[in-house]
Amino acid sequence: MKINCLLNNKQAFFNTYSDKPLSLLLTEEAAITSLQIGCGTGRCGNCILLIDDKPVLSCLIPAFSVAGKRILTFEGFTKTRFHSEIKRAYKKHQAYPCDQCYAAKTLIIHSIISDNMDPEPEDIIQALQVNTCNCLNYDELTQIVQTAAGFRRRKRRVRRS
Amino acid sequence: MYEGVRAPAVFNPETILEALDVYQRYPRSILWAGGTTLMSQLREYPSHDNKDILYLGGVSELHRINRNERYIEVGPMVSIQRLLTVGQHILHPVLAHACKRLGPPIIRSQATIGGSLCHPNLRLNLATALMILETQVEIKDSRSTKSSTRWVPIHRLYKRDGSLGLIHGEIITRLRVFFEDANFQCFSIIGDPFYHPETAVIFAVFAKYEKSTISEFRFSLSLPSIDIFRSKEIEASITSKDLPLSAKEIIAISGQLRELLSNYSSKIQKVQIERSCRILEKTLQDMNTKVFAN
Repeated sequence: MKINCLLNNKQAFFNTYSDKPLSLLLTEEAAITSLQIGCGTGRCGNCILLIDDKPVLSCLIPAFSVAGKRILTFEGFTKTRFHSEIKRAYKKHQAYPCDQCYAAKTLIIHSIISDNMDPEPEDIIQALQVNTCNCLNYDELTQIVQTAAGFRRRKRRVRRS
Repeated sequence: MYEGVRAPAVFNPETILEALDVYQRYPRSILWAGGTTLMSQLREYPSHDNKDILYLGGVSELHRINRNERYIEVGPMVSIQRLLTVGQHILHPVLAHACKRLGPPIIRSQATIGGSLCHPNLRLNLATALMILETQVEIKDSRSTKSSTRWVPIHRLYKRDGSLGLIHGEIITRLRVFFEDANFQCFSIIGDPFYHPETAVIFAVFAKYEKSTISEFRFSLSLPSIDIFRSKEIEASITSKDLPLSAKEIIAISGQLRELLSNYSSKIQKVQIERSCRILEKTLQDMNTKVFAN
């Protein structure tokens, strides 16, 4: 099956198997290294990426459904202005996710603060439950998300003024 | 690595009529909604069962949500998260709770209502909650020359042995959930219905009472890998009882459930019977507490 999509803001073309999981497609055919393929069944939550700005578990997405979509992996995300806010929040709290889940947690945090710049702890915990890695506890993660949201609010105020 | 693998053909219809037409011509194709369950069951890639795929994501009619004063109509391709967001002020608490317990928001955005109801082997949250809300389901049939439509109550979607009752060629096109006031609604899950369905139990209750007399009591109990159990007998024995229920009455009702479940299917595990009885007892006690609180 021929699939055209926008991968990390560049046109990409794949001639692949229609039902191949997106996580496999990107690691095998697009040399994306940030995707951690853990369980392959949606349980570990380490293979998150953004499709049309919405976070998805790439192991649960078949190749045929991404035709014409905009895919942003962690590699692409690090080139956006949003990454620095989350990096600063990690640094401020001296708490960093492990190598296995760094990309997934960062993208989840980005999606939380994109939806709501003043998220409630309950919403944060619920959203982060999809990633089962225990390298950071929910208190630390809540503080990181709220700090990153604060940075983004401040940046938006500066841009507006 | 993938030599000799045949990639399934993917059909991407844009209207229901087109989908029915394709389904009639390729009746062995898999209906693909959100794909969360189908993909999560893919233990390895490539799988050997590569049937053609009829992807319903492009059918706009199946993504619609309509409401009026009496009911809300939801297309089967509506994601669980969208149903929660759109219906946050109007959904029955029992249904909203069932949606929330399906998984974190990322999973809920991928999973669809139709996919959740039509899992071939598992009866999950939504089916359990929609059962007590006496939801109606619209089914279209592609097998006849003129596509036929029928509305059936949701329990008719499943056969007596618990398997999915949809015949090849049939597609769910709408669900109708009626608005109804209730004094008490509750939804609980014990265990992990997705990964350990043989021991899990899902339970939903919808009850009305006037003054202190129960005027209507409905409950459904999903034993995920077996069936959704509903007992008119127990419902009738609880209806018209006065609240608060005494400890003796609660134990008697629980005993009645234990007996019915023991004779219901040989596949039910003891732990499921025990969990079901405990959860019913707790729910009745919660109902007592609510009456006292008022």
